[in-house]
Amino acid sequence: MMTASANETKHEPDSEIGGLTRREAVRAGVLMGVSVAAAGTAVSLHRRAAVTGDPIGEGTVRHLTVLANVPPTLNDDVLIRMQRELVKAMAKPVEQRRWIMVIDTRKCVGCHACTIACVAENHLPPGVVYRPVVTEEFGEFPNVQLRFTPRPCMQCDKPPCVPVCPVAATWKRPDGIVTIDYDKCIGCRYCLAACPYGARTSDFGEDYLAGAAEGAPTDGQGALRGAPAAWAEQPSHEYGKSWTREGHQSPMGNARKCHFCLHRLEVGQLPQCTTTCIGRATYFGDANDPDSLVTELITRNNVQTLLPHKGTQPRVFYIV
Amino acid sequence: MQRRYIAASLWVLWFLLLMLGVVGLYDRIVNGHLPAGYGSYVPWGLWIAIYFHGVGIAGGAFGIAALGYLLRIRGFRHPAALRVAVVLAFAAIAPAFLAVWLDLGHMERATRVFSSPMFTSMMAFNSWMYAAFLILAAVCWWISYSPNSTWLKPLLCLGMLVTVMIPSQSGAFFGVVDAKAYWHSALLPIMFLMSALTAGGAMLLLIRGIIGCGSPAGVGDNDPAVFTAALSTLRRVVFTGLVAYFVLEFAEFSVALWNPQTHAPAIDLVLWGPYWWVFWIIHLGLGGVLPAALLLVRNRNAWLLASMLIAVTFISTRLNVLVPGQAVSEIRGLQEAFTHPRLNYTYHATTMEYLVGLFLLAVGMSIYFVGRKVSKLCAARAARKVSV
Amino acid sequence: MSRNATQRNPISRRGFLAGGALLGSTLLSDELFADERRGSGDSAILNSSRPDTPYELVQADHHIQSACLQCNTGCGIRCKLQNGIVTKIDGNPYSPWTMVPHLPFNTHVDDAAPVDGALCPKGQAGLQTAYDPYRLRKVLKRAGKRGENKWVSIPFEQATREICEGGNLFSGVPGEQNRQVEGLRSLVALRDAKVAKEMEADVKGILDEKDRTKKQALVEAFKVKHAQHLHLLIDPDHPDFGPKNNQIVCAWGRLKDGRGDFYKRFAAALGTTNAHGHTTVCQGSLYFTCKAISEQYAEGKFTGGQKFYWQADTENSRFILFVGANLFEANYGPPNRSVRLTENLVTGRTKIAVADPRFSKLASKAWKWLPLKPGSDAPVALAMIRWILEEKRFDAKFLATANKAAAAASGENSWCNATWLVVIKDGKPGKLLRAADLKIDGQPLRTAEKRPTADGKEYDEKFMVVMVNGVPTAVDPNDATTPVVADLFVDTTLADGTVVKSGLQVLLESAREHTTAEWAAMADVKESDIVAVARELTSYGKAVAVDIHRGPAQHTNGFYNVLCWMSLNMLLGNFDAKGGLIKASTYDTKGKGKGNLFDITAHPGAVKAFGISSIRHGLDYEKTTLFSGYPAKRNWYPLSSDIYEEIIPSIGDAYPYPVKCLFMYMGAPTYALPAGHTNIEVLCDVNKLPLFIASDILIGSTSMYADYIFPDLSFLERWEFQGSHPNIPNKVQPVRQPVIAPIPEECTVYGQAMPMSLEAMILAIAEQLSLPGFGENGFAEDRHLKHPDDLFLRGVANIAFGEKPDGSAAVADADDREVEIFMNARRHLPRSVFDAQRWRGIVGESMWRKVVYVLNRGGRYEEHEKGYKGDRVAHPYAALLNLYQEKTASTIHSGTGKNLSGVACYVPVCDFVGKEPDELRTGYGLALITHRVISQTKSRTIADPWLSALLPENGVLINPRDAERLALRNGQEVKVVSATNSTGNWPLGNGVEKPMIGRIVLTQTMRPGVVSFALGFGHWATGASDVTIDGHVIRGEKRRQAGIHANAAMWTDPVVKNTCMFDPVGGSVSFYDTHVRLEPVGGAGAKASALP
Ligand SMILES: Nc1nc2c(c(=O)[nH]1)N[C@H]1C(S)=C(S)[C@@H](COP(=O)(O)OP(=O)(O)OC[C@H]3O[C@@H](n4cnc5c(=O)[nH]c(N)nc54)[C@H](O)[C@@H]3O)O[C@H]1N2
Ligand SMILES: Nc1nc2c(c(=O)[nH]1)N[C@H]1C(S)=C(S)[C@@H](COP(=O)(O)OP(=O)(O)OC[C@H]3O[C@@H](n4cnc5c(=O)[nH]c(N)nc54)[C@H](O)[C@@H]3O)O[C@H]1N2
Ligand code: SF4
Ligand code: SF4
Ligand code: SF4
Ligand code: SF4
Ligand code: SF4
Ligand SMILES: [Mo]
Repeated sequence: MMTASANETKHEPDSEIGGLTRREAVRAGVLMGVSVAAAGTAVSLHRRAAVTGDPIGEGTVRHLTVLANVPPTLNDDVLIRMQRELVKAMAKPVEQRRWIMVIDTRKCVGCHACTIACVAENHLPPGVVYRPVVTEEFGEFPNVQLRFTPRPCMQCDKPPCVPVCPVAATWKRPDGIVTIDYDKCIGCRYCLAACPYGARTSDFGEDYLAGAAEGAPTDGQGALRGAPAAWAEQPSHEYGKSWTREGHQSPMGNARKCHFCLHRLEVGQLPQCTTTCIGRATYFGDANDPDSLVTELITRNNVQTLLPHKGTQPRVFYIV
Repeated sequence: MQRRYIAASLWVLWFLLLMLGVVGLYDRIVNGHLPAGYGSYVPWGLWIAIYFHGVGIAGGAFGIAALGYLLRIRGFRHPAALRVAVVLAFAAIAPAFLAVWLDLGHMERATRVFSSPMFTSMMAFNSWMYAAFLILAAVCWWISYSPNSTWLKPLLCLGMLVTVMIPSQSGAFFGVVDAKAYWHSALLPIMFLMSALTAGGAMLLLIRGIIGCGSPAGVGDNDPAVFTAALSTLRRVVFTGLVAYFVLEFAEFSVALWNPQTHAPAIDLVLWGPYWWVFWIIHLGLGGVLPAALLLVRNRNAWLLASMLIAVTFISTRLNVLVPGQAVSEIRGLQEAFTHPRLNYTYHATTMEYLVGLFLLAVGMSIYFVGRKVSKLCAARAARKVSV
Repeated sequence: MSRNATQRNPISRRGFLAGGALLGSTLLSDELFADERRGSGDSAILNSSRPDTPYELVQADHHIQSACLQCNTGCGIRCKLQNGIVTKIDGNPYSPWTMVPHLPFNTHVDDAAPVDGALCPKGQAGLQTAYDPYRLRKVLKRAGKRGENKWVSIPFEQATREICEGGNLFSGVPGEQNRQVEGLRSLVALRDAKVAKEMEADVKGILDEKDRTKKQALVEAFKVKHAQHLHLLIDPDHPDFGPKNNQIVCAWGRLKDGRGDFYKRFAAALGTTNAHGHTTVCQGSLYFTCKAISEQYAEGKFTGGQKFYWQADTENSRFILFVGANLFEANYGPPNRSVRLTENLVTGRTKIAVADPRFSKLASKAWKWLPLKPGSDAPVALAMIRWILEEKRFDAKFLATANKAAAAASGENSWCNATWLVVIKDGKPGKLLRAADLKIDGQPLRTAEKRPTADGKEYDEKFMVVMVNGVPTAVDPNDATTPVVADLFVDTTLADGTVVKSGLQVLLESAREHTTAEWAAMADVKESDIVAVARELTSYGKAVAVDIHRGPAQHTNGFYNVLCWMSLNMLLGNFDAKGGLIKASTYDTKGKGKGNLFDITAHPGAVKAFGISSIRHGLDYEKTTLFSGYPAKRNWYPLSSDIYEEIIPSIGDAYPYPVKCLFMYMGAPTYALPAGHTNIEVLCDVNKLPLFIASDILIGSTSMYADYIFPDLSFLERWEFQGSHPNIPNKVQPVRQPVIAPIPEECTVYGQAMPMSLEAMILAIAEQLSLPGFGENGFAEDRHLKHPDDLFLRGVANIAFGEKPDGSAAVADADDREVEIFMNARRHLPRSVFDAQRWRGIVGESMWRKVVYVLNRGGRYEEHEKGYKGDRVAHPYAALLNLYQEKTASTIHSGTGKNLSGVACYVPVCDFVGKEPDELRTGYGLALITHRVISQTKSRTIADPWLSALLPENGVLINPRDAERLALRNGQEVKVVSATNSTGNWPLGNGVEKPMIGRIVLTQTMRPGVVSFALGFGHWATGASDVTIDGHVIRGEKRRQAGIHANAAMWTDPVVKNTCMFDPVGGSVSFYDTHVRLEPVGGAGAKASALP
């Protein structure tokens, strides 16, 4: 193998290290060393850096008047209690809030109201869902059982979806919510693959009315109304901004996920799925508030998280 | 005669690929991702497999050529041999990049990976590495025309480092994903390296086999002995890589299959799922046993055929890692909880995706063709320079 | 900086900053935030180049509260508008459906604005129903054969003219070139009120005559007397058919008050007695058994039974047995009932058991599941009754109270006739013994008294008899001063030889027909489970309930199943108790007797309708001139009404008489009924039904067979008074009101612009025919009815006014800010819908702000705590309960000629002539039932694509044990066939058939031997199929066809043939009695379906 052929060998080096002259070897070593060092530094810097730049501090304090004029009663609907607590939490700077969600599977009736409420609130297209409710069946007749598990984003404290994003389009906010900036996201879907909960879905720009009433007039003057739907043309409000589904604009083409309805929190409203939970199985609040309902709930012994072995440290807790 | 015949059929093939590919591309551009088969539970499909295949080939081919050059192995000592590999690397990596680019939800924002990268992401890191690699390869290619440069070898060494890292990084690309048990394996980076070496070697074997076939190609192959030496070296590399890959794969599967604690449904899926034939027939049969057998035959054409098989079927190695890794839900019943074709754990590449795949192949061929022409021109110029 | 807006603008308008600083403040001028809007990069939530935008959905100025109608629960909704478009629907927090307790009614609208209540997924998706691309905008006229789905759109005026005047209307349709259609004008034959009144009285005479020869003589006399007007009758030989007007039938599916007032007023103006709803397809026998239970003893007879029923006071019950009630997915309804249960279940305060052949989501929270065999409700109930009676665990105190006074004395609101003595003749219980008829030593126990009747006549009060410590004692049931507490179990022969038993004794004997073990075996439920449940039911005092719904009701034996369960409730003594059985209570909309505020029932000039109804209800067969022995040609329904399964099939048989014109509002009998295909056959026949007019929001599964379809307003565009349900303890009245701009075109009627709608259609016909009670002075002098608002706004004013004649129960006036909100929220509505000036004019200045107050809150809702008074409900039933039903016992089954039972008992599943359908069962080994899923409502919600994602198609649910036995795989396609539909196809008319094919869904939640399918799939209309309009083909949406609807496999009655099996007493259709076979369909895909 090592026999040299005349027309390939031109010169004989003085001293060799595996075919390289000393000089070449030194150069090679330096080049490689520098490169590895540069790469290593880049990675570790980014590992440590909190590059969010979210608004924090006094500027994030919200003095909301929600429910101020509704006298509390002893047996208020938990929705009211939680909304009051939310208003209270919003009066703190954002970094002092610690939003968590608690889902009591014993109370969940598997109605999917939360799923659809979220779809409606966030104008999710087909194939995008933030909070599916999983139904499982156990046992054999007549000893059967059903279990319903709603699955929002866990807003993990160690979110595997965040470090994989090549462009820092997703990050963890000071209040713990894992956010996506649609305007930055390039739509590579790496974060989808990284989330063990399947909590991220990609907006492929689908349309719920595709395939409906083909052939019907679209000018709104025919015998039938015809597509498209008025509701689909209105902008949505995620992150307190305005998103219209036109062309290929964001959030189309982006990864999407539950954001604990930040835009509703901002105005003193509970997340949409919490507010519409007909079994009152979904609780939401500030775990930093020792008096909050959610704090009360997660200190009991029947609380679990989903896929704890993944080490993601979810901020969504399940009561079983 | 034979050469012209091959050339003509390559032209026809290229044209066909291009035509079909353009149809797919048109579909992709006009209808966005709607005609694609990947979704949210299987977010990556054929194109990402092509991507990893492409970068694997690039890395593997460059690595082998560089090592051969550095170690002055017969058939690899001539800088032209290096250049063939560089051109091949470009021809493999450009379509690979194109594939991920087309896969992006917002193609117009691709540059963000360079303007605001996040290096904790293997994707950002890889992109930078490949960019570095391309520059490096280009520089090597350029200075290979000045045979006395003392930078070539150090750069080749760096290139070697990068090429070892590229495929293994691709493995890490998945390995860091804790979410998918199947991907979360220490062996994966090594397997990727092996498959890169195998596929890269095979491509090199194929190309050198074709271009060296009977005509002076400026690689030194006009010396039949050198030509034969190069081919048989590559043959050995490919064979070894092939065997090593399958051994690793066996190791990986057996650990999972016989250890009840790590029992991975994804592997069941690969082996016995609805696409069992992809593993057993395409991957193991057409991509493993048959090429191995062909490589053992003392016939160059058989080797070329084997290489071709490997070059093509090793996409399935990527798909076999990629798709089943995604195809298993950690949460039972998620697919039924909210239904949509894109919220499904089965994936079928669509016609559009295949057509775009063909387009990418055509692009690769074009780049190779152009690269070869440029190489030759430059070689001629360099020769003129030397003679003047 | 934006976030400091609060500080900078310390305006403390109430709740103005409800929406927080930046996001909620469109009210502030735009300039204030100009730099933020431009994106200074310093945003509230997310720093980015994209500017923040206000979240206007939180503001009252973008809200209209209304009532959902995605199912019939009628939850309060808050529609949130963006640029005049509803983009989000949430719960109205003023409504007890969406919050417990709901916000106090006097909460300012601004304060309520940021508080959202809970809704089910269908409620959320309601906006998709409203904006459905298949919604009709113009009147469609048939341009092909009935059901061929070829249409032309025609002007509104043309449609009403053609319908009224008739003629050669379908000359373009092959086969109908020369068909002359009789128009409404000639059908509204009898218009003379005086003549009508006289005829009615004479017909009553004929009907009341028991002797058949004399009856015939009366008929002859009638013909002579009314010789001049005989041409106005359908058949002079049968004057009891009534006038030709009766040949117009006004039918409906889902109709609520307000609209109901409109529609029934229309029928009344047309002079037809035929105004029939869909109750019997729904839970008819539940209603009509409760009607029989609630018949009051008045003027010597049993009368005034209410068409209603009771449900559990879910929130306060300690133990509830749910029977065939699907609380978490259906019922009335998930949002209001789930919230009242879940917390109590988790804390252990409430325990529930579920009796259902299917393990429902409700069962998943139950302490015990009784997976009974379909149709075996009575055995389970009777077993419990027997055990409770024998173990003496019943509420003896309650049962012993024999009259109103006794009830009051023991702190009860209601009382029961369990102790009243029943005369036993030939071993059979018959009439209740009357004190005046019981001679003791030749003297009546109590002499009859002459008492005045309500209409100023006199009658003989004969009194009931009970035993008090073994002594026969007369009892005046309605006596509020002398309590009578009586012996419970009586079985004796009285001094005069009369054999008597107490009602409770009769019940005990009925329950003793079998041992509990035998009853349990009949239902195939463990006896120990039955006993355990019975023990729980009798362990918590009155805070217990048996809450039943369609499961027991929709059988041929539905009436008696329901009676068994309700009798069990009577044993528990739980009526009107907090935590027991309660009834609905609503604020009045009609305005009768409200200091005569707005009597919207006033109908000057109306001709009294009379005659046998086309569905033969409310009348004994024996009384009519049609009587010709047993079985009758079709069943008669003296104890029930709204016999949906008879409306169209009876037209097919022209029994009792031919019908010339059918109106169908919001009903889809062809889809909804068991064996609904039998209706299609009739509808397709223009000879059997010459004119068919439908009101629909799209081309629906029944309206597709119509001659004309009038576009209607969806629930987000129209008015209605939704009313309440028996599980809501508070007095309420949800108001449905226009939220979005109408999709249908405008039309002009009585000189007024209005959107096309049911009301517009009615008004236009009324105008064309000059019908009384519409137009100028329609209600009364200066009270016109020219626009729908004329009725609805007055109804709202009546609600606002309250029940006190002096107005002291009226709501508050809306303040200026509330009026501003009211106006702002309606900016987008066209003047034909919302015109403040016009609205104000209708209700008058004094009521205007009260009306605004009510409308701003989406209705009127009593405060939560006002629903109870101590351990009783504040709105009790407070009347007599018939454990023993004399009226029922005196009624004869027109199929068998036998008297019905007056007490709860087991009746097997039977056909019209009382035969058990064994032949239909042979070879068909699986019992077929059906159920609802949360995501679909019949033929309505398939329009909503969001919901399809939850369950894209239903399937045939079957236990894996059965599947294994039958070699069926999960996901395999099977056809459902039965003895009465052996092809397994749904004939859609014109030779088109839809095979009833569904995928096998293996699930342990099904009782082995029983299969089920969910309602709401397998559509062929409602946007599912192609239609041709004005020559253009409009494609159906594939999504809407998915799944299976197997109603056409349900048995047709083997005797009556063209309708389904039915409950001859309560009228219910049979949904859960059919037996079927599943036939694998070739090369089935292995695609697995979703979970149930
Ligand atoms: N999602 C949804 N909700 C709705 C509606 C809707 O269409 N969709 N419709 C509304 C209307 S109109 C109605 S009437 C209500 C109906 O409300 P429910 O009556 O509560 O609902 P169904 O699903 O019809 O429930 C019937 C139950 O009876 C069971 N069953 C079947 N056979 C038998 C039997 O022989 N014995 C017993 N004990 N049980 C049996 C079935 O398995 C099923 O669980 O729902 C209302 N709410
Ligand atoms: N298999 C099976 N079948 C069932 C049941 C079951 O549990 N299982 N349940 C039964 C029960 S409880 C019921 S109540 C019946 C209901 O039976 P129906 O009352 O006949 O059924 P709906 O689906 O309410 O029919 C409404 C029809 O009216 C039209 N429509 C919809 N919205 C509007 C509107 O806003 N205005 C007008 N004018 N028209 C409108 C549409 O064409 C629609 O098809 O179904 C019964 N059918
Ligand atoms: S649940 Fe998934 S998407 Fe959400 S934070 Fe955790 S890893 Fe990220
Ligand atoms: S899809 Fe968007 S958010 Fe997710 S990793 Fe890629 S760029 Fe980041
Ligand atoms: S918190 Fe908001 S975004 Fe998240 S699942 Fe609930 S509704 Fe959806
Ligand atoms: S809304 Fe509540 S009860 Fe319904 S599925 Fe969601 S979590 Fe469960
Ligand atoms: S239960 Fe759901 S569909 Fe029915 S009225 Fe309430 S919100 Fe609407
Ligand atoms: Mo119903």
